[in-house]
Amino acid sequence: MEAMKKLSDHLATRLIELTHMQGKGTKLIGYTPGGYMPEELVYACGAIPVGLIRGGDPEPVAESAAYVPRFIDTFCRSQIGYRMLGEEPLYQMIDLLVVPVTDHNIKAIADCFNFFADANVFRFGVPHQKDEHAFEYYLAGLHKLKEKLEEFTGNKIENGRLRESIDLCNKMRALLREISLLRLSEQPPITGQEFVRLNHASFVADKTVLISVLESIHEELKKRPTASPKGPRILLTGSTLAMGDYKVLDMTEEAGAAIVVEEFAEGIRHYWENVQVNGDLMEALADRYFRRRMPPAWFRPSRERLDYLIELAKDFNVDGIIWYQLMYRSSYDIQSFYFEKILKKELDIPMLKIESDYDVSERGPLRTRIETFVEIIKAGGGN
Amino acid sequence: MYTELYKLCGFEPDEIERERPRINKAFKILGIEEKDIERGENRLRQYLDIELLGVRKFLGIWMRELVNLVLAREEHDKVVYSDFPMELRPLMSMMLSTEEKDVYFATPGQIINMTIGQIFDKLTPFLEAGEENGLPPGAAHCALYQTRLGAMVTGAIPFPDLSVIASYHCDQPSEAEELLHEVYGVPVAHLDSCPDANWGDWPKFNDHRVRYSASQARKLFQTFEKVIGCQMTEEAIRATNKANAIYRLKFQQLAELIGHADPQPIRQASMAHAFFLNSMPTRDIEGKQEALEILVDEVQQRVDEGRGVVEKGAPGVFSTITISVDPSITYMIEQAGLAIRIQIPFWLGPWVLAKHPYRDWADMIGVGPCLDIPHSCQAHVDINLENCRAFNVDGAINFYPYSCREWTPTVMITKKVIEKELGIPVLILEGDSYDTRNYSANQLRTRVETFAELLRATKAAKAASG
Repeated sequence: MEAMKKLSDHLATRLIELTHMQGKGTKLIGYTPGGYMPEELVYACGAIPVGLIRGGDPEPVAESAAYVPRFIDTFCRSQIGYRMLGEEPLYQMIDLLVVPVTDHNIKAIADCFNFFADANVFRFGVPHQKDEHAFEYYLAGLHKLKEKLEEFTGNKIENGRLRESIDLCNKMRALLREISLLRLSEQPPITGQEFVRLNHASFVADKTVLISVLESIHEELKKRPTASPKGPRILLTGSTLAMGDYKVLDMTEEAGAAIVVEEFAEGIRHYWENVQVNGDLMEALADRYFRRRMPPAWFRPSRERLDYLIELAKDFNVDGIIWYQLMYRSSYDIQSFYFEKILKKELDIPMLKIESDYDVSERGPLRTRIETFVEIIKAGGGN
Repeated sequence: MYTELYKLCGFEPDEIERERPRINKAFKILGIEEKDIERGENRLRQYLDIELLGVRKFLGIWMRELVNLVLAREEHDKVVYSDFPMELRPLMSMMLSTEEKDVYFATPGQIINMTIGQIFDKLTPFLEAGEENGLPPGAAHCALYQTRLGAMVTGAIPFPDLSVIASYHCDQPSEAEELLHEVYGVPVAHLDSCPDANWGDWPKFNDHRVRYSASQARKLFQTFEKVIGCQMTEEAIRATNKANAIYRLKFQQLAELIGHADPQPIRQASMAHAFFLNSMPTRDIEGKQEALEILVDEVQQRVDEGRGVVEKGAPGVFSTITISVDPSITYMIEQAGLAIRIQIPFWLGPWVLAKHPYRDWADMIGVGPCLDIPHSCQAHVDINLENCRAFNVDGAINFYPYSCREWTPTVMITKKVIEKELGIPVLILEGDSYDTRNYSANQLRTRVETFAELLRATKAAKAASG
């Protein structure tokens, strides 16, 4: 697709572009990609948000061992490793790291960036349940973030500018949603791999360029007959799907299955919900990013996420679920135990649970397990 | 077959006879056999200052609770659980709002670990049952919650009518409780908070955080009242505050007495039973207070007489080992000739005793996460540092439980800070507080002995240079 090429070219020069902008005084605001950081606030104060979502490489994981014991989630250790290795430019370039604290794994990133890298870090809390007190707490955190960004950039966040930023991000999310929904069809015109790469690009790319690319892709896809093999339809879910961590996507599609929808705590931008701009804009952001955002596995009660997964599986007519979690993300490990039983009872479809520590030695066994899973579904088994 | 064991645990002969039917029943359910009892007696004699009446009385409280726990379903209408690291005050005030005959309260993971684990060294069946039922091995799940779940699914202890849990120390308790709810239908209530303090915030309070935690405490109390069917009373809250303050301050006195004594007057493992009653809601409030007073007097006597368990003048260390199951690590450190002056979190520093403006009961519960280790990584590190300072140690042993998500991120930072600020060495050891299958004192012995040699040499050099 021509538009994909345009996006690829943009990403190839994005670092240079960001360096130039930074040279002219624009602040780069990095953030952990768990879906709780409203980029709108960053744009509204004239800064540029960049999600730190690199992952899948073994070297940063190994490097992190000098700073944090290994019993922390792999993606979180990777983030520490990327920063300390100094080989991933974005991790060095950011002027401020914003960390919505969701669990102790994510918190470890903030602590290590603070202490070992002497980085500017701003944390705000994400409660683990959704009552009105929790909403107020998250909203108070957003207000503190707003103050921090204003102080850090020297630019006041005006309502007009914030509304423009919300419109921009809403447009991006709406396009991602439209493209994703094309995968409802029996033979989707876009592969899971292609969609995930588009989604990942949204954490780094210039939003205006991205929107233009997404519009073109959407148009192109409507004319494109099929991209995915007519194999089993898979829902891919789990803790984190990082940029560069494409092994499960590769292996699943190479085995002849189609990933038709994804749901992750980190690494996949949530695009189903938009910000509703009727009323106080900060409350509208909190409503979108906290109240209506589908919660990850560390939320209580856990049913909201599980029911949502069941609905997704029904809507996208999936034949099986691949549960891809990273090592030591305990919430996902525990939830997978009872979700598999619920899935069996409600939909009678199979689930494959796989785990990674970004180690190259995992690839062989992983491939065998995924291929077997796909073959079992093809043969009508597993349910 | 267990008369001697129970005597070692401070029981009088008439109480043993009176309790025999209940003990027999509980031991049968738990699968405690003669060889386990013999092992238990040997472990008590080897690792603890069992000659001290205070130590024996504390052991007795835990052993009584073990039987109470196993028989809770047949002896009470309702059963309410919580577990470490939930703070005691909300549990105790709920407990004291109910009649003993009606409702049984416990932190079952702690009870199982302090008795079946520490005394009998027989946790493996519960750990394996927990691993098979949703908390699998190899994923660094908290073994406290594995044993707790394992004890329930094997039928050793009943499933509760309500489980209340705190999630502000770490994520695992609430995650494990959700499993309990989804798979076994147990009603659960969480005391939520957000550990989101920025670097530099410590030791300031975040009012929003206090208010949020307080709102969750209120919700928790409402759930308790609804599920258990009774009202929280002002009298229970007052009694909780009073008993809790008296016990904690007395324990503080004991920790300081031991920490400043030379030689070290009592094995650190002998402190664990008293310490963990800071978070276990026993109704035997007078019994635990009496045991603590006796222990303080006994330790004071040893200090006055210059008696100790480690040679006088031995290098002193700060240690982060919290002994629930395994007393062999601190024993090995003491055998290596190091005096463990203080363990975290035994000592209440000025940060915990600080005055705060909150007077409402729920707010006072809510301020808990902001006063201590759960405040932030920086708090954790600074508290370690202050412990080293306050007890003027020659080195620190940072033994971290690998499955503790709150602890692990602070390990390297703590080492750097203590070494830089105080110029003393820090030894990092990896193990666990509850599951002893993957490490042993003998594996760690060489490193500890080398560390002890280093501290002795440094101390001697300092003394020589005046």
